[in-house]
Amino acid sequence: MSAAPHPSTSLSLPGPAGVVGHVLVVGVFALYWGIPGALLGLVLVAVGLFASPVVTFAVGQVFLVGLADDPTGAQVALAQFALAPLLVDGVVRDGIRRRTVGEALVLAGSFVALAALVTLAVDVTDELWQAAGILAAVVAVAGYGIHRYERVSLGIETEDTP
Amino acid sequence: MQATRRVGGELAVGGVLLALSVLASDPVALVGAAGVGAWFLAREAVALREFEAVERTLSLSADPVRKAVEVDGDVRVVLSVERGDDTDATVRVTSRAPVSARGPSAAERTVTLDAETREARASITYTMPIAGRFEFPPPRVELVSGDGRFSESLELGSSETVTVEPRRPRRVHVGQGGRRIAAAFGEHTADRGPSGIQPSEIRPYVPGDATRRIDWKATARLGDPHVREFETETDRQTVLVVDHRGSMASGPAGRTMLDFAREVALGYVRAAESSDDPLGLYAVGDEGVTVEHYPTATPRGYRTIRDVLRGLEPTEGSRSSPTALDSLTRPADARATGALLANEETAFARTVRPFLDDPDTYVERIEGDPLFGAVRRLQSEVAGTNWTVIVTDDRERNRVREAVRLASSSEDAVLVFLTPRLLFEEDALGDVEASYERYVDFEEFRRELDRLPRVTVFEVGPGDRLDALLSARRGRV
Repeated sequence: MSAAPHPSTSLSLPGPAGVVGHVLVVGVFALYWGIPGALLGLVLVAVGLFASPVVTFAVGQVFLVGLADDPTGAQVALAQFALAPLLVDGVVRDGIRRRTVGEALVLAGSFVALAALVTLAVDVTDELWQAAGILAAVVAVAGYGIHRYERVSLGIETEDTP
Repeated sequence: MQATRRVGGELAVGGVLLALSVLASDPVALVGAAGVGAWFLAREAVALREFEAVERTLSLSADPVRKAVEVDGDVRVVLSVERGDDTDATVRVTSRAPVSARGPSAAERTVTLDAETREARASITYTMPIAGRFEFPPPRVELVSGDGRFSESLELGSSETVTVEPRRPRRVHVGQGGRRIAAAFGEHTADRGPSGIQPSEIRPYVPGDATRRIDWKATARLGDPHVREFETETDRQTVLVVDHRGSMASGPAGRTMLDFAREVALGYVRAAESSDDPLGLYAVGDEGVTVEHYPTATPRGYRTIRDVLRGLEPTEGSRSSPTALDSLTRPADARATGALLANEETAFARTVRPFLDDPDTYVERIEGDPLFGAVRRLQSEVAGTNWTVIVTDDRERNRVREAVRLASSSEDAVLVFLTPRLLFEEDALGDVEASYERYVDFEEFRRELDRLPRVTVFEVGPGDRLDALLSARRGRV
């Protein structure tokens, strides 16, 4: 199948959620890490003009790792709160007729749930690689579960399917 | 649900963040990876919701306009799709056809409904080059999520069956000595009711079936009303032996020997079905029996035999070597020739004599003849046969003679339908005198067979050609 065209290689202006996200990122980065933080926030705005929301979000995470040497929980939470609208912007921009609010809420809920899972896993295991493994496994199992449910729901898989 | 390459790229970004968190010992990147994971799951869930909405509200039909066509006829399928969902998913519906059908490319058989399009129709024409019953599978529906990240392929709708009839020759002559027989072949007086007491098969109830025929146990078990068919009990069963060897391909397209032979055989199926007579079939190809159907009087059995007959094609083999196959000499003729050469001492006589003295050769070659073998096989496999119907041509007369003799040896009535080769040749009417001589020769052979006990022989061929030959001959006398 052919995927729908996506503006990942050409200039694409962020939507309202993206604008909010970028403003928050520049603000939070400047608040906690001063001018270097503000500059990296502006660089992220430039990245967002050319890259997809997921890539922009990931680059923001990399910038955050570089800026925050030993961040507090509040700093991390606020920075993630600022970066999350960049993902939501992707949902809004992809939608033509969809109820994007509901989808944004699903995304936000999933993000909160997985972030909580990561926090818990780090606390319990005290090993990042184990927490990373748990995250990867949970995403894989959940993804596969949705896939299987979809096949049953659409009648592709039945009791007779070998 | 299949993910596109784009999803792979996004998951790779998440993998990079995972790796970064481990290598840099920084849990911040791990939270970022959780964000990418959440994005993936949310997109997948949205795609699931879209697909379910489309599947629930999609209305489609792919109905062939005609359910029966002749070989090389066109079947037009009207593909009609309407969606009632309000999602961004793209829906592509592709009409599908049996493997043997010829049709346009997949792109031309596909209608696409994007988020803004609610309905679409397309007319697709397939050509059906092979006879038989063919099932048009349900259309294939491809769903693509609104963001283009996930797709799914499924079948929706129902399959449709189209019957492709072989080209039917016009003016089929069935008769003796140029005279048509009056009655339809296969007809006989019925001497019993339409149904027996031997249970045979269960089928869904259709309007018109008597309610007393409903099998209540089967109905309770299967959920829908079903009736039970019963095997007719009769001792008048018919076995068709239909020759479809390469030699039966003689004649123009749609008017070959096999086409005429098939018409005769289909006539027997119709007659047997209307009288509920058990009917069996042995189809004979160049390598021997190609289809064997034990006598049955069930609707499914008649349908199967009819489908087999419609689908018969000449097998590869002896189309181009009539002289070798026609040269099998009967033992009596060989002995007569041997007697002539008995007193000669020429090199020719010395060379030929051992072959003429060896009766085993004749027996071995007859044993290996597919038609003879088929008759022998049916005699050993089918008990209580009353009618053996052999449909073949007159090309290998000695072999036909032996097969008919064998068929009549078991006290069964034998009907033989012969297609005279000369009526199927391109220049059959070029030399009227020579053709008439050949027809007389055929008629003598037919009569010779007809004189065998319990054997009745008919000629089958294009009536217009036979009439033309006989009237041309009459014009000259």
